[in-house]
Amino acid sequence: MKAIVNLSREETLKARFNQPRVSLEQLRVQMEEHRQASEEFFKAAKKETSKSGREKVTVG
Amino acid sequence: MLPGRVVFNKATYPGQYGFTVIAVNGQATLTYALPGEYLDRLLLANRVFDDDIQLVGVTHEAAGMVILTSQPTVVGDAATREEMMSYFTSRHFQLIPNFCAGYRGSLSFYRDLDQVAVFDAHPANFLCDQNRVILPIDAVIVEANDELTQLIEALV
Repeated sequence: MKAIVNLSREETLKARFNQPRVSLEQLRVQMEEHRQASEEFFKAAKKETSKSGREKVTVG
Repeated sequence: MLPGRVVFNKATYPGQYGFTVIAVNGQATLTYALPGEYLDRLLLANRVFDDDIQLVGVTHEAAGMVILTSQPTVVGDAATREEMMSYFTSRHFQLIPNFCAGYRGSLSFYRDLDQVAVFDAHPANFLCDQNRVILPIDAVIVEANDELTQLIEALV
């Protein structure tokens, strides 16, 4: 399913206020999953950039 | 508290108030935020990301001041790079290419309409809830002063 970008403040707040109630343990698991997703994201980004932060280009 | 509003409470480490980005020696630089800058950042997140962060209180511990806030809990998956790009372009931000403040590999964005810059954008800071609505939760957001604006505008 495609992600939705709400441009209305009311709609976004409605989404924020209507999150399911979860246990602290579930939140901890979620945070760990997000942390891992970010790690993968950074790894992929590092592969694509040189030390100085420029995108890697292949010459020739 | 509003009906259905599930929040988590957050306390800063004593004497530490997260991060901000300022211009230092002609470079946009990630640095420790002052208490006022931290509160500005939270207010800006409310305004720009339609969040509802509220100040709960301020207390003193031996190591320094602690700021307590509450923020609606978001339950969902980490957003992908494409989803983050879609979020920002829909809100008239542009990517600051090849620039990251925070984790190497995180994304930075800028909106010239109101000189707002967002740094340290990565999946753990942008969640998609159960209805796939993208909800930012903890990016470094800054209203750039003239010096920082100049530096950022040279990059975009």
